[in-house]
Amino acid sequence: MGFIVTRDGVSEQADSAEARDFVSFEDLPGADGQNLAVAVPNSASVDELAPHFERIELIQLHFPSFADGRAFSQAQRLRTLGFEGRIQGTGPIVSDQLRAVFQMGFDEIVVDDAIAARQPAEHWKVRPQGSYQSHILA
Amino acid sequence: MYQYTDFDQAFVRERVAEFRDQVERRLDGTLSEDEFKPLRLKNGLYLQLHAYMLRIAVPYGTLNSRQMRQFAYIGDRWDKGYGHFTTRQNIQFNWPKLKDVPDILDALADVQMHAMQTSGNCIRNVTADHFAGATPEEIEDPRKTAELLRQWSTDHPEFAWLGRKFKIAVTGAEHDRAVVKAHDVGVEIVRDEDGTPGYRILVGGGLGRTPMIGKVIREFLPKAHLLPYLEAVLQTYNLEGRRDNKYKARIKILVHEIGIDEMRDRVEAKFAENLARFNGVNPDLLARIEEGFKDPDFEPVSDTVPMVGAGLRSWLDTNVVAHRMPHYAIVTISLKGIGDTPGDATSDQMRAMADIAEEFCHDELRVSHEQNIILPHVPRRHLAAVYARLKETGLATANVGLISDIIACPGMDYCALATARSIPIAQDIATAFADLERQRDIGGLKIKISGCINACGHHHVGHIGILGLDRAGVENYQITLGGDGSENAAIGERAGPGFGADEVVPAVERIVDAYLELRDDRDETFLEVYRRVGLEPFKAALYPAQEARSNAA
Repeated sequence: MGFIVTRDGVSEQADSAEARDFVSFEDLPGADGQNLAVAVPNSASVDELAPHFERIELIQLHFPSFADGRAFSQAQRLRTLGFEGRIQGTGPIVSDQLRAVFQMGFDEIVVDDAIAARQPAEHWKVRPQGSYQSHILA
Repeated sequence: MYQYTDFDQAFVRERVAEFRDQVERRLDGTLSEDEFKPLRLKNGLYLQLHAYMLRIAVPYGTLNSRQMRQFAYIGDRWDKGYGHFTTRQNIQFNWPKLKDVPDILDALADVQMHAMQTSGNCIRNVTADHFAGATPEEIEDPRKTAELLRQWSTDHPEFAWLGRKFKIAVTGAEHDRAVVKAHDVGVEIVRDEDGTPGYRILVGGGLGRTPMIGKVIREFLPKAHLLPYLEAVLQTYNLEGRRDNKYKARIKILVHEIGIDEMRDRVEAKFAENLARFNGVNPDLLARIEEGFKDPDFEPVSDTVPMVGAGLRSWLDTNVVAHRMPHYAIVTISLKGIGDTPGDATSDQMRAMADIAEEFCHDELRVSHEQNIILPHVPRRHLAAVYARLKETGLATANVGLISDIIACPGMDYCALATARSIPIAQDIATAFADLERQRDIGGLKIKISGCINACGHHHVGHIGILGLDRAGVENYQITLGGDGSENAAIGERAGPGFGADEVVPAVERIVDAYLELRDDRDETFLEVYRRVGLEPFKAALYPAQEARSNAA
């Protein structure tokens, strides 16, 4: 059974990933309403979301493979550009990437059933580890 | 030398613990081999032809005697009594067992070392001029910049899963010994009009199957802006570099496809945003780095001592160069003994080098990308003693910069990627030119050998480059001429059809004979002659039969 991992730990998938309607990246400019959830492909420029930030509650970024780190830069750009809503990651990431995920501004990761079967909930903890990037800054 | 802070020390220990846990999860099956592979690579662990290989970082090539002795200990305890110094200023051990690797990493942490990011698709160990801090021609010690970059790039969460590896080199001298133009990013320390040091940034250089010379993306960058600027370069690469084909995934391909001007525009746009959020580097940390690279406690000037003996004199000619303190010298220890494996050192030799460094060189050594070891600060009055000690342990070969000072990758003797052997070719050439008198007559000539198209042996920038390929199951060696890894960087030109393994030495002999014929005098180097006359006369010498045929036609 899959689950969601946040900074606070692991929770049942049902709690937060109830069947939400995601607006596609292409359809966003024409979409109505507030508190939108947008699914963004891995190859898209997230800069194009900036004019719509106020209407977006959740942005979902995708890792097509755990070795494809583009979504890390997408998340970082979203935060640089001022997005304050929720950022969710999906795809076959491994628990060893959790530290980087949260450092880059993700709020949560969706772990699907297949990954959860091999990497159970107790694996999804952030190991204590210093961060050079915050250590070196003024 | 830079000493680890408590933070650095805790960090490497935590990483060892993490890797120990990853090894356990691999062994119990919760991590698949596919998932484990990039995790072990980020800790320097490769799977080679016959065994695992552990590549240990020597940041900017600098180490002390204690660290060198620890390599000797690791070689004895967990390997086969030797190590291999690489073209990225690292050291590799070729025979460790997976279960022992966490213990080896702990042994490294004991002496402020690690194997992080010596492999994998991340920012690799940062390299620098191996004469840094010792050469008279330097604007500033590049290792201060390289150490800052080491810290910034270590476990950088945004850039740990790039499309491909990413290599950065730094030089502080105009004469480039760090091959900065063949790196993903090259950093040159330069002065602006007012004389203030800053950086010139190059991007998109690299060797491999598509060799390219790096292009200037920023003529002058204030020193304080380095990190936000490089973040912009890396972010552009991470988001926009190709991921559809691993052979087209390096930043050089992105730069080539969109052009340097477009690349510059994209980087500058992101840089402006990064800079707005950037509050600078912690001044205490900068002071700590500064402190780490202050001058050693140089001894006062003393009377010169006469140095006699033919062996000593030729060693002084080839292996010793000027230091910025006139009563000091920079010594290169050749790891290219005639017939030996380039870059290999036994544990006994490592201990001997450590002892010499401790006694005569302010406890400091360097690894050069040319696979030699440098003693950066030797008082001239000790040169004869250093030579005698090196001789005792078989490390006094007087061939630095000469034809037998060959760079060679491990090739098919070790490497899973190799298509041909490199080491035996290097050994054959060195043996054929063993006579040091003859080598000195030939003069400066860099031969670089790679056992596959990935070019770890830097063959593209060898004055004579040799690339080993597999032609229907038979090793075949292509020769390129006129490559140059210096500030005048150039990619060598392919001379023509390749040669069988036993034809390489005669081919090199013909090239050398042609050079000796063509040169105006002994002062005109191989590379100078090549630049003057071009490929054709060498081609004619390399392929005499073909030449005869075309003349007859």
